[in-house]
Amino acid sequence: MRYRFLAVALVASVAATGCGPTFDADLMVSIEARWMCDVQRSVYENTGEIEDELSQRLAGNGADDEIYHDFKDALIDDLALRERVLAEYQAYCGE
Amino acid sequence: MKLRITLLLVLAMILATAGPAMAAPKDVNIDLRSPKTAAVTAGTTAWVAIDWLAKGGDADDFQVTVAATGGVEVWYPYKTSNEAEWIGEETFTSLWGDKMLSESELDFTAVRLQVPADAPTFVDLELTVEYSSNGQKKTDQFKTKVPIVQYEGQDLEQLSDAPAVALAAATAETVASPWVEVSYAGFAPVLENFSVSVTDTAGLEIAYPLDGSSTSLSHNSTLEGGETDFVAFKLIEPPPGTYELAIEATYTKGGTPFSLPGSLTINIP
Repeated sequence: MRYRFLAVALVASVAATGCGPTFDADLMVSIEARWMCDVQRSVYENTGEIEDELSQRLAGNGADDEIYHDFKDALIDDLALRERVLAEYQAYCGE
Repeated sequence: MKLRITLLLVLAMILATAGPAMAAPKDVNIDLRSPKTAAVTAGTTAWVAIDWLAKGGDADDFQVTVAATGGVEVWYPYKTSNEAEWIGEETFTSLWGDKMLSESELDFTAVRLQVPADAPTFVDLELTVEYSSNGQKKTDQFKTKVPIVQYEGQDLEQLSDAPAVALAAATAETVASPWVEVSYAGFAPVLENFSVSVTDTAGLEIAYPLDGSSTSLSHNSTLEGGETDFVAFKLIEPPPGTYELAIEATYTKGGTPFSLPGSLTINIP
């Protein structure tokens, strides 16, 4: 009986945290931090150019828009991940 | 006893995963991370990005309105992909990612700036941010600077020194006083008050449109970057021959006057 409780608790715990990430967290943190810093340093002819700039960065690092969206979705619920981005942003952008 | 311990473990796990939902609400502070934007060339239109950070909590329904000094006009992104619908449609903008800035999250706002040719060295953007925090509406004010740079490079070019001369061919009556057209290509963002006069007529009699003392561009008196336009003046009954005329184009850029001397070779058959 007690093992059933433990099993249920374990399953519940895994279900609560969700499936594992579909991106390389270290890579995406680095891309996001640098993107947030660099995007403000340039002017753009239209908003499409802003999107293209990000897509080029992702492609240049072996990522794509889908991976980026997974990462952004993960950021919503992950304070620790957001704080990693912020720390790297502050180091790169200069604080 | 063992059952009690097991139940406590389960309860601990449930509390651990439900932790954030039961945390006390936090009061958020919005931090503007862009004390100045990227530089914009006077006389041009460009999009700039402004970075934001939420500290201590979440900011939802994030709305930004922008007022600019220096005669700069501001536009916001529109929700459709049809760029023709953008101008004047939106009265506020939000974040690039979505309308919420979570605690410790970075995001940016994109705005379009139309900068006049005579804008000052720096323009101020007054940023008003409205958002919701813990069910309450909040408003913060910020200011960022836009550096304005002047265009450097060739302003314009006279396209040909052998201009089109309107002469009727194979008709019984020749054009006694033909029009001469001279084209110019613009490179600088905006060249205003554009005017051309013949400074050496080579002995020919010249007349300008509307009996003026000079002529201007066909479309208007402004030559913009990437635009080609032409000026025209009339030769009054020129005798046959080849003539070398000197002309001068004058214009203003950012309020400062400039001139471009040129020459024309006119062949009257």
